[in-house]
Order: sequence, then structure tokens, then C-alpha cells
Amino acid sequence: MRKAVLLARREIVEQYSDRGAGFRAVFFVALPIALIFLNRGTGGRGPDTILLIFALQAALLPTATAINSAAGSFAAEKEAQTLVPLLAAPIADIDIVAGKLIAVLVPAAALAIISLAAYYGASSVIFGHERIARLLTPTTLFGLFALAIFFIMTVGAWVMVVSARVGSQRTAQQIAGFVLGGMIVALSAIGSLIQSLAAEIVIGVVVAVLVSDLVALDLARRFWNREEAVARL
Amino acid sequence: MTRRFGSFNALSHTSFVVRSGEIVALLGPNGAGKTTASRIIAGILAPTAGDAVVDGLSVREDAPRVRARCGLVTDSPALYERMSLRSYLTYFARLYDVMSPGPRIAGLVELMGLTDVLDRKLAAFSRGMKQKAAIARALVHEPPVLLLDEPATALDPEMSQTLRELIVSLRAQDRAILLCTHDLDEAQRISDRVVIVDRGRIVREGPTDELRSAGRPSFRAELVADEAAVRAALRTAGVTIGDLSAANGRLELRWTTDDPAENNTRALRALLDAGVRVISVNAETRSLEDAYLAIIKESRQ
Repeated sequence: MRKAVLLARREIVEQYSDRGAGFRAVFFVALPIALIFLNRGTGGRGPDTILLIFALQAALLPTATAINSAAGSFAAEKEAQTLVPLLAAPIADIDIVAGKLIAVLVPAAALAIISLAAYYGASSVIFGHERIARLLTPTTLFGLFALAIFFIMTVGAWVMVVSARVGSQRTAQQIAGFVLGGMIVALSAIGSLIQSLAAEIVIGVVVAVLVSDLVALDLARRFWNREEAVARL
Repeated sequence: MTRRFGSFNALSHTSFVVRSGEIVALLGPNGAGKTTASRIIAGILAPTAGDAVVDGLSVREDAPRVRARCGLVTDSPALYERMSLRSYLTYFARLYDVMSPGPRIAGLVELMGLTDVLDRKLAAFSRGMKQKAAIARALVHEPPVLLLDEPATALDPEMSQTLRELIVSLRAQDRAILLCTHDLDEAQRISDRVVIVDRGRIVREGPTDELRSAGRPSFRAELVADEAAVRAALRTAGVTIGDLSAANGRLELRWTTDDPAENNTRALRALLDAGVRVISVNAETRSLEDAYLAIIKESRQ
């Protein structure tokens, strides 16, 4: 596990030393706040579920940054040929996969927290602190955050499976784009469902994502191995 | 070792030894199986059949410990270019479980002449400096086995020479060094033994000097004479002409023989008797390249 953390730390530093990654992070944190400003009339007059949908967006949109990181995880290393020295080191396959997953998960999770906090602050200002405090209880906020984590793990694991098997970062990013598209569709669907059955749907989605996580991680473990990666270099 | 990729045989029953304090050049055309062999030995690619034993450890049974005993350098430096040289080497030292990497890194960068750029980002390095950084990475855990896969690709002649000197100095430290290359000049200069592979099979193996001198000795003479007279004289002497060409009023004659003492004496006597003026006679030294090309041609026939 020590080597997984070492690998993850290097990946995070590498990812975020790119200016583009910083802009992407700021964009995905700012987007939900911009949305509540743009819809403050609807949010102010409408039911609480609209504010819940905005909160869900605030939790899940920053996870989009994870898709790009996951897409680059193996494909970018293959392209730069840096995977060979890494695979030549005495580090277990599971440490490599875990390290890359941590590198995808930690920054996106941190962004989800920042985004939720920013949303909470901004919506308190616009819609009143009392209403937001009643709506976004610590349990709800934790639930939204947990949902974001499961979502990142699912998307990260699936995109990493793809990234390990394609030859270029560009291809991996294109596939990640489809995943992002699917994510937007899923967000919209979740949003519309929450309007009718808020709590049950959130719990149902969490369970579904959790199951999907387990499947994806198991597949990532089965599909990705050193031999496969080297043979494709 | 045998390694197949689908129906393609990258290596077939390939077997050779690299001892401590020895540089073995693994030569062969593109796609011969050199890189596959080095990756199997490095413990990053499993053989389909057979095994590779590194410092007493089987790659089949103990790949992680094999990896810890090998240093691998590829044709591309393959660095994380946003890192500084210091962080990069520290990172790999920790991956290789080096406890206190500081002094080791200081020693390595001094050896490579990179002390002044230790805290500079790798992206700012020249190609030669990057390759040196890659070699430092491969040595950071003091491996007894060093696998160099085309290490001098894209280096200028001066940097290639520096690299050769460095490789030779590493041999002096009693490391076993496998140099995969198709730079025959480089192999000729520094390798103790040569293994030639083609289409996944070893076609010749032996000490570099022995390989160069293998085959029928060949000779070259510079003559002033009429071409017909030379041909007639040599026919009388029973010597088969390899090549006879005219340039600047002189003839250049090449021939090979299994028995130089007997046949060369007879040939020269016949030429002199025919009134041919002999300017020079030389034994031709085969370069490793000549030997290599002859061996590859022979193996394909």
C-alpha cells in the first residue's frame, strides 16, 4: 500500500502541475454555483427538490475531472513510454491499479467537498440560510458526498480499464467523453427522479452505484495486468 | 525462453548467458526479439515457455524479486518530465525500497555529470541528459544486472562515446550487462561477447573478436597490370578471384582462401612470373558489421 500511495502522490502532482487541470477543476466547481445564480428565480419560488438537484450537481459535476485523470492514467504513460520503467520496478499490479485509482479519487473527492461547501454558502446567501440548513442537513450532505465518491470510483475504474487497453491518450479521452455524456444523461435522469421520490431514489442510486463500483473494480483487477500492458506497448 | 504473441513467435528456444563483469551484445535486425528478450529478463513479460534465471531467481516464479535485481534502460528515456531530477530519482529509489536514497543519488548524478541540474525539471534536459537520467534511474537500486535496450539511439557521437565509457565503467563494477542494439560499432567497441538473433532464434554466439575473425580469411592486392594477364596468372595458380576491379589505372583484387600460406604464395609467384607489378597485399580485417551481415545472410539461406 505504501507504494500505491507513493505512486498516487506522484500522479496527483503530475496531473495538477498542468494548468489545464487547474482550469478544469475551477470550472466544475464554479458551474453548479453559476447554475443556481442563473436559476435563482426558479429556485427561490420552486419546491425544495430543485435545490436538492442543484446540490446533487454540485456534488457530482467535479467528478468529471476524474474522467480525464482516469483516461490518462495508463494511456498517457503508454504514449510517453513511462509505463515500462514503472512496470520494471518491484511494485505489485494491485499497487499500480490502486495507486492510479487513488490518484483519480482523492483530487475529485476534494473537489466534490469544495464544490458542496461552495454550493452551501452560495445557496444560503441566495435562498436564505434557514431554508438551506433545513434542506441540506449533515446527513444529506454526507449522502451526496458518498454518492460522489462511489460515482468517481465507478467512472474511474471503468475508464481505467479502457485506458489500459487502448494505445493512445486521445482514444482514451474520446471514450471518456462518451462516459461523460452518459454521466450527464444519468444526472438528468436522477434529477427528474428525485423530484418525485427524493430520499428513496437517492438511496437506490447509491446502492446501484455501489454495486456497479464492485463490478467495475473487479473487472479492472481482472482486465488490467502487467503482462497485458507490456504486450500492448 | 520462448515467447509468442498470438501466432507470432517473438522468441523461440532462445538461450544464452551473461556473467558478472561482462557485456554481452544482443544483436539482430528490427523485430528479431531483442526487446522481448530484455523484457522477459527484466521480469516484466512472462515467457510463454522456458524461463530466465536472474541472479539465481526465476522470472517465472519470482518476478518481483527479479525486477528488484535488474536495471532497465530503453531507447526512449521515458521520464516523468514535470519532475525534477532529484524528485524523479527519489521516487524510483523508494519504489525499489532504497532506504536512504540521498547519498546514492548524489553519487549517481556525480557519475553522470548531472550534479548541476539535480533540481531542474527533466523537461528542460537535452536528449543526452535525459538518457543519462534514465541510466541513473536504472542504477538507483544498485542492480547486479543491467539491461540496456538501444541506449544510444538518437544520441550524438560525443554523447554516445560518453555513454560507452559509462557502460564500460559499470562492467568494472562487476555488473552483468546485456546490451541490445543494432549499432554494430557500439557492440564491437565494448562487448565481450555477442549473441546474434534473427526471427526469434539465436543464429550465432561467441566472443566478439572470435566472431569478427570467423569465416574464410580474405585478402586484397593492388596491382598494375593488364586484367586479362592477372586472370590468366591466377587461373594457372588455381586461385579463385573474389573480385577484380579497375580504378585509376590500377587493379584491385580480392580473394578468399582457406590456406593462405599455400595459396597466397602460389598466387603471388604466378602474378610476378606474369610480369604483374604488385603495389600492396593486405589481409582484410572483418568488422563486426561484415561478420554480422554474413551471419544473418547465411542464417536466412
